[in-house]
Amino acid sequence: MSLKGFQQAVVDLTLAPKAIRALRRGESGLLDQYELNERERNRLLQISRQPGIAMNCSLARGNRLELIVGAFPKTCTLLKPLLPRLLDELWEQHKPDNYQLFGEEDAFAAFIACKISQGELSVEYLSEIFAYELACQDLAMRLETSTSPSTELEAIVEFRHPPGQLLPPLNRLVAPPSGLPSGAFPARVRLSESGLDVELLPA
Amino acid sequence: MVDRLTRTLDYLAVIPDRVWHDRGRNSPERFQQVPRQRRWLEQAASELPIVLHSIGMSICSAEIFDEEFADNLMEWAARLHSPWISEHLSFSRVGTGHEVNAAIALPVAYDLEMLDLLVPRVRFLTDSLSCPFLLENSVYYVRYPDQDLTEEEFLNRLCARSGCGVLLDLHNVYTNSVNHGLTAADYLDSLDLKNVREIHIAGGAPMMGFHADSHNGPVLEGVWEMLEYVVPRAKNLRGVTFEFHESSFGMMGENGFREQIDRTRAILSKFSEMEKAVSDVAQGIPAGRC
Repeated sequence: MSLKGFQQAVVDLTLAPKAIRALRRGESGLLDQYELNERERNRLLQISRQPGIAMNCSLARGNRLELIVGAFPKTCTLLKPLLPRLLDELWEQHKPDNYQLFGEEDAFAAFIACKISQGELSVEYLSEIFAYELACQDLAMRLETSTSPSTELEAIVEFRHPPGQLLPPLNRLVAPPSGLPSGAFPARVRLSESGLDVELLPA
Repeated sequence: MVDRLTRTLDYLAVIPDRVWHDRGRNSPERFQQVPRQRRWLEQAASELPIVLHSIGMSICSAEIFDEEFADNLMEWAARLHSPWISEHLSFSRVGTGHEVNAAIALPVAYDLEMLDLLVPRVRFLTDSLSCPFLLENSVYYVRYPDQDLTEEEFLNRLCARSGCGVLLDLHNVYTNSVNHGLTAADYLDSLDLKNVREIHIAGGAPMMGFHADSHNGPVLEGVWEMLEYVVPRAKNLRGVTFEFHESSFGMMGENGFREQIDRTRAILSKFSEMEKAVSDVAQGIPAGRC
C-alpha cells in the first residue's frame, strides 16, 4: 500500500524544511526512498511548491518549541540569538516519536548540556540558569505525578551570580545585565501547588 | 477563573490525552495517569458533563490503527459518562516499529482508498462505544491536487457507511475558505448537516500570509455568521463548543469568555424558540403559547 509511503513523506517534509527546499530546487530524486504511485508523487511535488507547506513546518516547529520554552524559558531567553540555529541542529538529529511530544524537553536539555560541557556555548549566566531550570523541571515532573495534593518539593541550586539580580529580569524574559558580581550563591528552590519559591542560603 | 467559568457551562470539552502519559504501543502499563489532571477532571465530571476531544489517535494513519489507544479512550468515556467523544479527520503518526510524529495534525487526501481504510476503524469505534463518536473536519494549509472527493462528500459518505457523526469546526471552514479562496456557504450546503452533533467555534490570527487556526482570542464575525446559518439546519446538534488556546485567558479575561458563551446561548435559544414556534404551529397550537 503506497499510502504508507506517501504519509511518511508528508511527515518527513513537515519536519525537515531542508527537504522542501531541495524539492523546490528540482531534486525530486529525494522522493525515490518512498514507495509512491504516480498520483502521490505528483501530489508531493505540488505541495512542496505551495506556501502552505512552510506554514505546516512552522506550526510543527512552534508546537515543539512551545514545550521547550515552557520548560526552559530563561535558558531560551539567554540563548535567543543562537536558538534558531541550535534548534535546526537538534531537530535534524531528533524527531518526535509520540503524539504527546514527550521527550522534546529532554532532548533539548541533553543537547544543551552537551554543548555546555564541550565549551561550545559561551553565553553569560547560561550554565547556572540552565541548572536552575533543570532543577525546576525535575520538581515540576515530580509534583505532577505526586498523588498527594499537599506535596512540597525542594532542590538546592548553586548560583554563581546573585539570583536576586539574575532571576527577576529573566522572569520577564529579559536577559540580566552583563557583569553581575560573581561568587557562591546557594539557593533552595521549593515547589508546591501554590507556586515556586527561591530562598537564598548562607554561602 | 476556569473554575468560575466551568460553573456557568452546560458541558466541558477536554483533551483527554493530557490526563495520561503514554509510554508507547505495546508498553506494559502503557497509559500512566497524571494524578493532578485526573483529580481536576474527575472533580469537573462530578459537576457537569465532560465531552472528550482526542488528538492522539491519528485515525487516518495508513499503518497504524491504535486499538490500545482506542480502548483507553473508551474506558475514559465510560468512566466520565461522556455524552459523546470526538477525534480529528487527520494523521500525525507514521511508522510501524519506531513511530515518528509530525507534531501537527496533517490533513488526508479525500480519496476512496482513505474512505475504505477508515470505515472499518470508525465502525469499530461506533460499535464499541456507548456514546456517539464524531470526527472533526480538517484545517489545511496545503491542498492535495486530484482528490477523488471533496471533504464534504467524504464526510457524508463516511457517516453513511460507518455510523459516526460530524464535529463541525466552523473556524476550520472559515480558515480554509480564507486561505484557499473557497466559499464557506458552498461547503455548508454540501455537507449533510443532519450528521452534525457538535460545532466548534473559535478565533484565529494572521500568520505567514495565512489565516491561522490558532484558537486565540474571541470568535470571528464570519464564524458567528456561519453558526447562525448552521444551527437551524443541524437538526441533531447537541452542543456548541468555544475552543481556545490557554493564552486566550490573558487576552480576553473572564468577561471576554462570558461574552462568547452568552452570544452562543443567544443564537441557540433564538433558533430553538423559532423551532418550537414552527412545531407548535404544525401541531395546531398557537405559537408562543408555552
